[in-house]
Amino acid sequence: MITDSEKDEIRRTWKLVVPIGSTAADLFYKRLFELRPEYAALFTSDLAAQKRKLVQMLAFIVKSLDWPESAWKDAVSAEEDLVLVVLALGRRHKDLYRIPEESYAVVGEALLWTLDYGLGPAFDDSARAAWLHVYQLVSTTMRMGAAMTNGNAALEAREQSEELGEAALEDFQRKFGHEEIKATGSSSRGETV
Amino acid sequence: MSLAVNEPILEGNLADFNLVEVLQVLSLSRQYTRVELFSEQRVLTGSIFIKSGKVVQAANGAFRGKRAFLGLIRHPPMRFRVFRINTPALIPEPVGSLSHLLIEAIEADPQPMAPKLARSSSARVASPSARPSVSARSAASRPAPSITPKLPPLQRNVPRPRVDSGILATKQGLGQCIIAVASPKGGSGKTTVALNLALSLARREHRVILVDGDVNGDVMSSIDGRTSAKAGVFDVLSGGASPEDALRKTVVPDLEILPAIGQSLPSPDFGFVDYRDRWHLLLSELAQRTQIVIVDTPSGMLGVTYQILSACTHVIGVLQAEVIAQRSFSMFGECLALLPDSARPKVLGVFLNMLQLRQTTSIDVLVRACAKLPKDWLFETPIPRNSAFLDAAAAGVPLHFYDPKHPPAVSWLFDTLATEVLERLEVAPSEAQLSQQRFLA
Repeated sequence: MITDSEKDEIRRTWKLVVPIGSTAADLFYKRLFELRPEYAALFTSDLAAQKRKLVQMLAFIVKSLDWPESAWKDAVSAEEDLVLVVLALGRRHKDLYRIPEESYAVVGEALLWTLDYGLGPAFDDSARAAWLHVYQLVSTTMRMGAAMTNGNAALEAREQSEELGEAALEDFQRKFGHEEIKATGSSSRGETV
Repeated sequence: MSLAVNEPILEGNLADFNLVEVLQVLSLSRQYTRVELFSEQRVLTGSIFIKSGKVVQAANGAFRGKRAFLGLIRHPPMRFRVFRINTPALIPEPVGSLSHLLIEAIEADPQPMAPKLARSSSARVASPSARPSVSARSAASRPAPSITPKLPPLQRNVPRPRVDSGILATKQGLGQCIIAVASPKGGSGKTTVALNLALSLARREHRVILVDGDVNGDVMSSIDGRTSAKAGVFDVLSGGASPEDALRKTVVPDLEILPAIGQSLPSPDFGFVDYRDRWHLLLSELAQRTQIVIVDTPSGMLGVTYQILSACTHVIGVLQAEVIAQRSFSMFGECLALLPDSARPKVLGVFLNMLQLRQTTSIDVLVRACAKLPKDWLFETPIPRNSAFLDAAAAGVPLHFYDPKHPPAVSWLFDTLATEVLERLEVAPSEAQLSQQRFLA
């Protein structure tokens, strides 16, 4: 239920973020650790790689939202589907990285602060509303992925979707990656946003 | 690895994530997605199909489309399960945009509902005190948009009791009546019995829907109509078609047929996936729009047959009057016993088919059936093996229509069987039938 005008705002502002992707990632983690110093302990591995993965995931989200209303019937592969990939991301954040649920609010705040600080006047009310809407939906999707119950079928599907999430990000990088959003490898450790 | 279709990608309790949240999240997906909704007793109460932010179809009891969707939003069940399913070749025109339908639900019933999304992310991000503090621009004064529309408070359906497996018909008329025709052994004549019994009931002005639950499509083969079916029951179960798309009318006004398959075969995974809830929902809906639903099941008592049986109120066993069929018939009762009490259909009776009066072994089956089957199971009407069945099948019609002016004698036995079935269902004869029974004017 992201509107076309919100998609326009996301696309417009993301184009401005891409050239400063690494700086934006620096800002994001700086602000995150200001808000919650204890979160720094969650990122014991290579933070530089983690920053690239953050930008890569945001690029994937933006790209996934970029389709016209008239294309609603088009078939899209599971690897390119935003919800399936983000559900898997949420599961990994809970099971692998032990990320507490309350961190979603802090991460959202750090993200909006980063966009606000990095884009200046370009991050106007419309852009802020659009990013807030997207973040709320994405974070809810992640929380649903994390909260999925343990039915056998669901468990198997979840395991598959986790592999799918990894594969989708790698595939996305191959298709759309540029210098600012290249990831260093397929290791998922330290993938937290 | 690709994510399997027809496996749940998400499931949970709507107390944790309310239905609007679930649908909002799925609006981001461009997959063809089915949301199944369950009561506290885990009975399927409704389903919503979504693709790319559009509600493609919704079902809620007897309702379809927008009315079904609005009902589910206003009275959401307890649990949900989300499936990614195959996108059908032809996606129907959507019921509407998800956002517009949600707004319509709000405007029609504007009781406030606490936005669950505010619980974590939005509560913090949208809070003025939590907004970025470095920029001196107007961030702090911006109103945070709420993405969760105000909706009625979460209401729980009064649990809908599962259809009791006892005889539901009353003297005033039939209640929900879903009769499976089943047999442990293949080739016992289930399809012949189901088709001709359905016809006899319909000719008595009882509205009947005959459902072909066998993926081999034997019902449509019997009437030489396999290629004419646009959609089948397995398309309906998988969400690729509605019952209206699949139902076929017949020249008998009170008889409709729901074929097994349409233009394409169902997914090979179908036999391995538990669709009991979907069978229950579909057959219950059909039972609400007609008087009697007869389901022709595949051979054997487990697998798809087991799923169908769990959704039926009654079952008729077909016993072929031959030794092998008799030996395997113990499976009929044993497999019924495997069903939970709440899902076990009542045995309406056992029907002896293909009796050969000149064959001692065939008579032996009859004798053993009288001695061994539980009291009152065996119908009084047996059907003899008769060449008229082959002639009718060759002509692609039920027995009675092979020669409507002079139907084969054996076809009248199905009328007798229909009488027994109605008696066991405790259906009172209609006034028209009563008047026909009077001899003196």
